[in-house]
Amino acid sequence: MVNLVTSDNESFTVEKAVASRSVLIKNMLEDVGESDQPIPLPNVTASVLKKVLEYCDHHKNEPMPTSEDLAAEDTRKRTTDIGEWDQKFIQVDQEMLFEIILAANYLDIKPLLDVGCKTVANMIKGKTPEEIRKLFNIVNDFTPEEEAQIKKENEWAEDR
Amino acid sequence: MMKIITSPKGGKDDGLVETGDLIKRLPPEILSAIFLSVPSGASWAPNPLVHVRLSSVCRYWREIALNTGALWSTITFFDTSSFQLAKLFLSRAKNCALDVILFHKPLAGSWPMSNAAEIVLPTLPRWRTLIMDVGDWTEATRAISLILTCCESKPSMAPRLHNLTFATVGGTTMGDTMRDLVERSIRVLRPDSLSFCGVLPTIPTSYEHVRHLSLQCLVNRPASLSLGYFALILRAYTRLETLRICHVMKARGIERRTDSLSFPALKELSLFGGSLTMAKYILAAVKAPSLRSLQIRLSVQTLQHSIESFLCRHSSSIRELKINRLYSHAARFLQAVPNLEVFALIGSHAGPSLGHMVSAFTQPDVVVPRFPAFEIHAQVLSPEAVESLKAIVGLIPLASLSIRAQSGYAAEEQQDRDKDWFCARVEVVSWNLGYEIDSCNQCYESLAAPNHSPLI
Repeated sequence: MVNLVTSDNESFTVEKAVASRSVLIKNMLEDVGESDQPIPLPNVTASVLKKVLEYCDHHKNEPMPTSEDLAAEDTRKRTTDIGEWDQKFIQVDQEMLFEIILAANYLDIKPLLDVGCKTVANMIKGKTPEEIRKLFNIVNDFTPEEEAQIKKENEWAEDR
Repeated sequence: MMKIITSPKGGKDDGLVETGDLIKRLPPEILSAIFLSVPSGASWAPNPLVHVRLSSVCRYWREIALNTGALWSTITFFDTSSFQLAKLFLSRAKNCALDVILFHKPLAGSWPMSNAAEIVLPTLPRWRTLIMDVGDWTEATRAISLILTCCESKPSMAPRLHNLTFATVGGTTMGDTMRDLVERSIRVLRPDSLSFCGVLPTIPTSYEHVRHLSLQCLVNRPASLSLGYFALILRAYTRLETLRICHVMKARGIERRTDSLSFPALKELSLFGGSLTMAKYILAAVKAPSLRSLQIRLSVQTLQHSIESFLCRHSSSIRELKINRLYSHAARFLQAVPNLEVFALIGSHAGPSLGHMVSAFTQPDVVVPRFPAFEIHAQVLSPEAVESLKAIVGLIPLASLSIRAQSGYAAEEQQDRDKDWFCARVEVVSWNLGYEIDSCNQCYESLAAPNHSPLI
């Protein structure tokens, strides 16, 4: 078993197979060897780690993506297909969604990071800039000169 | 399983967090990955508006979008009005590998393709894909000549092309000049993957470097595609790993051929639509000892003996079978491939096939075939189909189930109950009842197919 301690000082005891879905933790465990020492995760809060561990637990028996898999994915056209369980898992509010993405990035859990990125990409799909701003509460901070250039580029793209 | 041991302190900040702030906290490389995941349409006709819009949201997004070279790496020309946008994309693609598309809009007037080729020519060593629409014969010839002359005069400029596609919507015949040019293109550009769509390929001597070949919508025109011609084409590609034959139409009457086509490295074979004589010939002639995946969308009933015989000959290697229809011979097909890992129904209606599977597998003394993963990709899924599927789940110890249909089959509550029923018995990898065909996987076929026989 592995003991993980979050930024808000909660401890989680999990199976090694679950914790090792995180490449960061896996490497730490390999470096430290057999030890009862808790592993601090200063960038992850308890509520987010709980959710991340739920994902890791569900996928613990799947093969880890190899470097060849990752390279092949880069050359292939990306798709926004997300598995059924993952879709349900990632149905969270926006704040939690972005926290999961940040945690997956920090903990180096590539498949979870992909699920998060694809979910946000699906939210963006088919939307105008104004709709995207509204969706994520983003302020339009372009200067009038930048706006003019952007307008021109959009007209070129719409022209096809 | 995990267990929380202590919880001494409070959780995270209780203060409200603005989403705009949250998305700004994402590191640039993650936002960049998100941008690259936003679907932008079919590979042969991506919509540049998607990427332009991503760069039009706010300054932070624009900065990241403009620094994500891969976002701008598909350079599409479709007439002279597209030149400015293509130049913009080229300038933003930085040093990324490029996908170059020279497209001729159906029924549109002629436009100077060679001018477009001149714009992208300085980036030739970075080309990854070249999709060449040869619908406008004269202009296509000029553009290809320009590209090949550059490669031949400066060999260091020649790209390592992954994919080369010659296509035209509605089909055309190739004159001698074009034939020579196509052959020269394959020889000079040495693509890993080669596609012909709506246009007849040449008969080459040998293209050993081509590992993936796609022949789509080759039509019944004066320069007809006879079985003999077809066999000669295929025989040149001796090291194929993937062969996709889609809507290839034969022009002449029934021709009996007994020769074989040997593909020692072939792993995937797809036969979609088109001439049954052609399909029958392929199923009888192909010898592929390494074949792992067979996909068929044809008149299965007419071809059942050919398919069964093909499956028996490749029984030890096939791991994946995707088929549009099963009839009463369902058990025999599946028993012929004992090492099957994935079985998929990919026809428009899954119901009749599922019904036949149930009746075949419940016959007395039948040995029920086993395959761990069952996938259904159908346009229509009926309530009867779902009931048959439940029966199959009871008969075969499946490890995973994937269901994709373009629309629902019952009230949402009923669908949810059914989904829970399946989830309790098997890992449901996908349950999507509003499935959109992934436009990334579509090709010219979707435009040209109406000219041909419908898929079954």
